[in-house]
Amino acid sequence: MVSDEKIVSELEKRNDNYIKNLLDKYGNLIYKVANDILGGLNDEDAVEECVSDVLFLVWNNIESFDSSKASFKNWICTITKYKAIDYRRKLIKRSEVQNLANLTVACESNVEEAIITKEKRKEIIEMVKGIGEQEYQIFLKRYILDESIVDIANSFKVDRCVIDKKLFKIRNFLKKSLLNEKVGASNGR
Amino acid sequence: MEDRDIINLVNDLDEKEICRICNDIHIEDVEAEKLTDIKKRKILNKFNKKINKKKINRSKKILVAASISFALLTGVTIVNPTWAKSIPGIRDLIEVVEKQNKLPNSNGYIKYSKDVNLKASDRGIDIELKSIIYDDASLKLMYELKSDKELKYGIGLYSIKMFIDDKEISGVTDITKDASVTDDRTKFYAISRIDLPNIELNDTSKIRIIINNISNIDGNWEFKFEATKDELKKEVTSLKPNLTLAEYKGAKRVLEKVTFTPMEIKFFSNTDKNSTDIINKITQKYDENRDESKINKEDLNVIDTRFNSAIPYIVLTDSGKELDQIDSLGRDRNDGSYMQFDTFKPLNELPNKLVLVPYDYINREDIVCNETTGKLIDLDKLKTKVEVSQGKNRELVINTIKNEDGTISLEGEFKGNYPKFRNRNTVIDVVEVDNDGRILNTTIPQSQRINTEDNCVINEKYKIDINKKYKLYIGDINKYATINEDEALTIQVK
Repeated sequence: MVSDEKIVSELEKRNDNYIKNLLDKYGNLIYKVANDILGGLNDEDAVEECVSDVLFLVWNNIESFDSSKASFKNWICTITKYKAIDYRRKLIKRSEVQNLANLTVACESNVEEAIITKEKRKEIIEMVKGIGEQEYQIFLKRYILDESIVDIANSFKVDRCVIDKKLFKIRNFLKKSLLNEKVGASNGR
Repeated sequence: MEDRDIINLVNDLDEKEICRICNDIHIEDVEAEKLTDIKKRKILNKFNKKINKKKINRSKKILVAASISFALLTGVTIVNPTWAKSIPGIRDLIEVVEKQNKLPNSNGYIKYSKDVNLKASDRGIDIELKSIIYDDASLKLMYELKSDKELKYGIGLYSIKMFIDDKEISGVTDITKDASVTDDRTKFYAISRIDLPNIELNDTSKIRIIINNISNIDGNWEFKFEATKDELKKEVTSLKPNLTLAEYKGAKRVLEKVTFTPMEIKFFSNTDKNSTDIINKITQKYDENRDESKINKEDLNVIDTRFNSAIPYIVLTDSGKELDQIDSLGRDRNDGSYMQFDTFKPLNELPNKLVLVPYDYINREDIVCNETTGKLIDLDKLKTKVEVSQGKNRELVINTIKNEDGTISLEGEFKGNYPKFRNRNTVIDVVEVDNDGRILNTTIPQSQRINTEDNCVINEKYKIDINKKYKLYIGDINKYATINEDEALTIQVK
């Protein structure tokens, strides 16, 4: 079995032959993670499409992998989880759009959202890191991996109210940060 | 701020940022499930379509960029290179690169490189192309790359178009084998390799290279220069063996050319359009068929191992030395054929002949560590060295075995033929057993495992629980590949 280091370095060199090695080594795992999230939709094609998208994401972003922070396996698993959730959201959205008659139109535009630039989004996530490692992990699990509060509580072996409190703290922190940003921007004008 | 607002916030992050964040998330171990070969193939095909799609998109983009840059470059004169041997720049570059990587033949790089000293700048990135090597096998670019910002995403020249004497070369990819980067990631020293197709190239050629992506930054960097094979010509040996390497249901893979240069040995094997069509038809049938019981897995196995991968041969010199493979890359070409470039480390001297011994990998899933696949030896009885002879001229020797402070240490070596084609992972292991000597656990934590490049050294340490019983498991070295010496092919070199 080819080592992770070899797969990473060959993908960095744009050697697409190593996608097959990646699939041989982690295909079972990627499929399992994607299927756990998408399996309920009874759409085998969607799972396969999602797995191939994960490979494509890895292929295009291999340089983002940081071996000092995570194992390759963990990184792949996390990316798969993220991608599968993204897929599920889109698939569900698509099926909802088909039932237009039942749609309730709601105005969801939001001043906070409107002023957040892409760069700012990155900064905000960096700021959450500053609250504390556990808060950051909770934030990522909840909002990137779409994990339920109960699952997060189980993974940290704490009561769900602990997670609720921490999420409340994170949301407040972000609200304050964004308000400060708005005030700063207004003063700067 | 509501959950919905935060979800909107993270949803708009770009892919790269998400991938970076994924390093920070620690998730519990997931138990994998079995993915069938057919599903794997389907997924791989979907992926391949995606990268092809992306390539087409990029090509469109390049065409626009190229036409603009061509207008700007009409005044550019082609530089006649001077020999670089006396120019310290290339030596320095190679020395810097060599500190981090071992070049197959750095003297060859210094001796045969030619100075071009060209510069291209865009998007705050300057590439200074210092030197080139041009021969029958590849074009090597030696360059220094400076950026006004940190280059986060990889080293290399991506999205390349190349023209030789105004003819576009299809399937061009930069293989940055050797590169060095400064700590702040603003400067690279690199030697890139672009494999050249098996076409007749003039001794002196006008080369034009357009690069449209560096470290995930789109831009336009272009070089035009004249390259000559003159100086290197006498050091290059090219053979046209025209040997059939694989044949299946009318499809053929032919070894068209073998090139020996001071820097590398390259095999050019081609699957022509007709054969590629046959292969595509076979695989397409399976991609559309969901009923696995109706599928002849032999088809897929043969196509994957004999056509769509490195040459399925162990390459030996007449003195029995196994060539060290550097890499193997396949490229679709504009004429519908598929060419595979297998690159090996150079030899000190030209061999009289090459012997190609066919092999087939044994299905790895069959290689498991249990009572029936190997021998179990009581560790207490192992006071002296162990020698196990397996197959034709293959031997495993364990010189020392120590059992101290909860650690079992093994030192030894593998001897004999085809070192890279030995079962390595399940040939030697320390396993936990019950009172009757049956295996209970084969995943004993290892604190050290040295896998040397030649696959010969055994140096392993296992952390054990002193209250449990363990045995030494010795599997079969040969359970890795079947090697068929009787069907070896010979290429006369001298």
